[in-house]
Amino acid sequence: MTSAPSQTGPARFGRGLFRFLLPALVVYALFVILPIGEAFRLSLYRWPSAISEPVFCGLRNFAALMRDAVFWSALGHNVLLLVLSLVLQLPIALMLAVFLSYPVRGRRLFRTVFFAPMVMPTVAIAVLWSYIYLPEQGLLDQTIRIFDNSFGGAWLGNPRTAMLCVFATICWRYVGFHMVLFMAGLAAIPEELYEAARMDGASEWRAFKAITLPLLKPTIRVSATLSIIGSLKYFDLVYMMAAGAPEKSRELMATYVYRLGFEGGQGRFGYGSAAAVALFLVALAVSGTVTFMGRRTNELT
Amino acid sequence: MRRPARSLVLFASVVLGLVLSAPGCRRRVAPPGSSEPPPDEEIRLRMWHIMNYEGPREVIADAVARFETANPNVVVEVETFENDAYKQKLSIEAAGGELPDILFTWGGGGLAELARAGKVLDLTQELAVDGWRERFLDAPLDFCTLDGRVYAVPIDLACVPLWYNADLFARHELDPPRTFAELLELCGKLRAEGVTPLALGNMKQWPGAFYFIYLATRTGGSQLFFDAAARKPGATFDDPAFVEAGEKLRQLVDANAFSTGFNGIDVGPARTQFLNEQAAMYLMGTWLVARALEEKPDFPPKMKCIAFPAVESGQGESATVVGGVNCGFAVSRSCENPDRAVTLLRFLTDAQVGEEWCRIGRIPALRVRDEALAELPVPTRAALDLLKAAKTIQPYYDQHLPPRLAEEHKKTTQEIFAGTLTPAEAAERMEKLAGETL
Repeated sequence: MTSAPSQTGPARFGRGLFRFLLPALVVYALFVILPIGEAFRLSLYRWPSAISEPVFCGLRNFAALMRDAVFWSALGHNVLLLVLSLVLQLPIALMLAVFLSYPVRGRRLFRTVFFAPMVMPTVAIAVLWSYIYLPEQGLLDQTIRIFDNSFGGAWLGNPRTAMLCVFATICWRYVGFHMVLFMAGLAAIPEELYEAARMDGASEWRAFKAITLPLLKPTIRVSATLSIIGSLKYFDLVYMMAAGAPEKSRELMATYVYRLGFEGGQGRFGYGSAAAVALFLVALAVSGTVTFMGRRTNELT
Repeated sequence: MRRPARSLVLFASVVLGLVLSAPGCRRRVAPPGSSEPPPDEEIRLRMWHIMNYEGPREVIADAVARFETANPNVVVEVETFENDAYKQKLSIEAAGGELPDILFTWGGGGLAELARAGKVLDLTQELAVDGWRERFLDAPLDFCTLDGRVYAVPIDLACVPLWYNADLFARHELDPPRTFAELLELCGKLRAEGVTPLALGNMKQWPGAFYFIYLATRTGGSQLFFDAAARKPGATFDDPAFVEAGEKLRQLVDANAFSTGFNGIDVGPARTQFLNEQAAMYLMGTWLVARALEEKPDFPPKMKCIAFPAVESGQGESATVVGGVNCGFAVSRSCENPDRAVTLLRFLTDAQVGEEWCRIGRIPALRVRDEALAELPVPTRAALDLLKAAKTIQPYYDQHLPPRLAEEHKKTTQEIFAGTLTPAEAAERMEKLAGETL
């Protein structure tokens, strides 16, 4: 205890807290910040296989990355996932949340069922949906076969449909999560506002537009931010389900980075690090923009 | 953000180093071979393998136990991994980490890469002692040999025959195909009967690669592949034979010979199609037999196999089978007790292991008595006959080539299947990368 007696309470308390935060900082520095720096460093090395010696090559890896069609396709898929989660996933989640804010029968059951995919292990979801998409024998093809007996879709094996199929699964998985966020947001809106609106003769739709949406804005912003960042760094379901599609139709940035470094023991750590740095910069730029825009709108309102 | 593996390993080793350097912890022993520790000191040998399923796991554990009984001061710490996870782990540890004393290997390109980098011990001299070398069949030992030096000892041998459902063939009055033209014709007939001709689940890319490898070895011969991989003048991966193999593959795809949506389904559902008699043929390794016995015990009697059909105008032997070593062991150069490690390898490849290997239904890479071979399941024995009739065993490309080129081979082959690359483009990409990396 070395603090001077003249210091005020909160300042002293703050300094004490710092000491408690220090161990966490050390762990973060060791396992998050330093490796990011290390990835930057490695991205400057030519390191074609795990066993070879890394050789410094400046920005060559980045130059190669800019010409790498697979990387661009991966970035494109990330953008597509981002757009789809904003224009499909969030509206669906909002719709479900609004519906469930009414005293529907079996409201709890619906809520639990819609949220269930969120608590299922990802691997189980990947296996489950692979069987839904299984050509000819899967649930999807069997359903279509009620109408067209000879139908057999390649789904996850078809370059045109593989990613969209996985995106549908991702949507299915996360809709429940955003729904719960929205439900929490809805619960915070005072019921009196709706009563007043009803007295003024406003329709439900009008009340939704004039009350629900504006007051839900902070929640929507949180949901959108989580979706945007989540879709930029997304990995698991795409890695497990789209593996069979050709390279340009199966990668997100994160899966591509992983495959470069680790798949089949390729060990292209230099080039993989360059791709990881690119992913980092894209994610940083986008989340920075989102935060900045959020702050501006906050100031305006 | 994915953390680069090396730094992770580095940090982990720093932390571990701090812990282990505490007073009283084990000291670093002198370089290998220079001094044997006193016999009463406990020696630890770390061993990694992937035979993590019933059968091989027990046989290996048993051999290790026999070794430990004979060497009471040695403790073997066995750690097992899943196939793909092991490949990743091995490449990371080889790059900057610590390899175990005894490591599992498939031979081929992966082992050669370790050998060239000086990560594994040369066992050639040891093999000359006590006729150890004579215990092995020649072909599998070749898979563990680089420039005349042996770097690993093989235990398991596997090959990839074309399995067919003999009952189903008899019901439809069909004969197994001997040539590629017959295969194409047969596929048409089977489709007309509503049967999937060839079961294929190509999500992981290696099952489809078997077709390309066979078509290439039938068209251009195995030597072309070996020469192209060794960068011998005149032999390249864009040789017309490789392009023709890709074109033949397209003919099969266009004839609708494979399971619908094959690129999007995994090995499991494809096997189910074959075992449930929805598909007539299945190009798959001999390890299929054990799975079939387990999943559908009444099916194996219907399983027969033939060598992959010949390509009419091809240069390659029509008896050559695709196959390789599915389990072998090497000793890491960082091993502090190489003598003990080699002794363990002797236990792992002794006569008892060879016979047990037959008993669990797998083909040993070791010479065993005919009575032991008679214990193999009937379908496996039929595959073994194909193996014996073959003058050459064509290795899986992805195990003969270094990892990066191996991935390129699997990726480009899958794109030929998907129709997103022409056979010529695929061959060009292989040759380009081979030129850069080999």
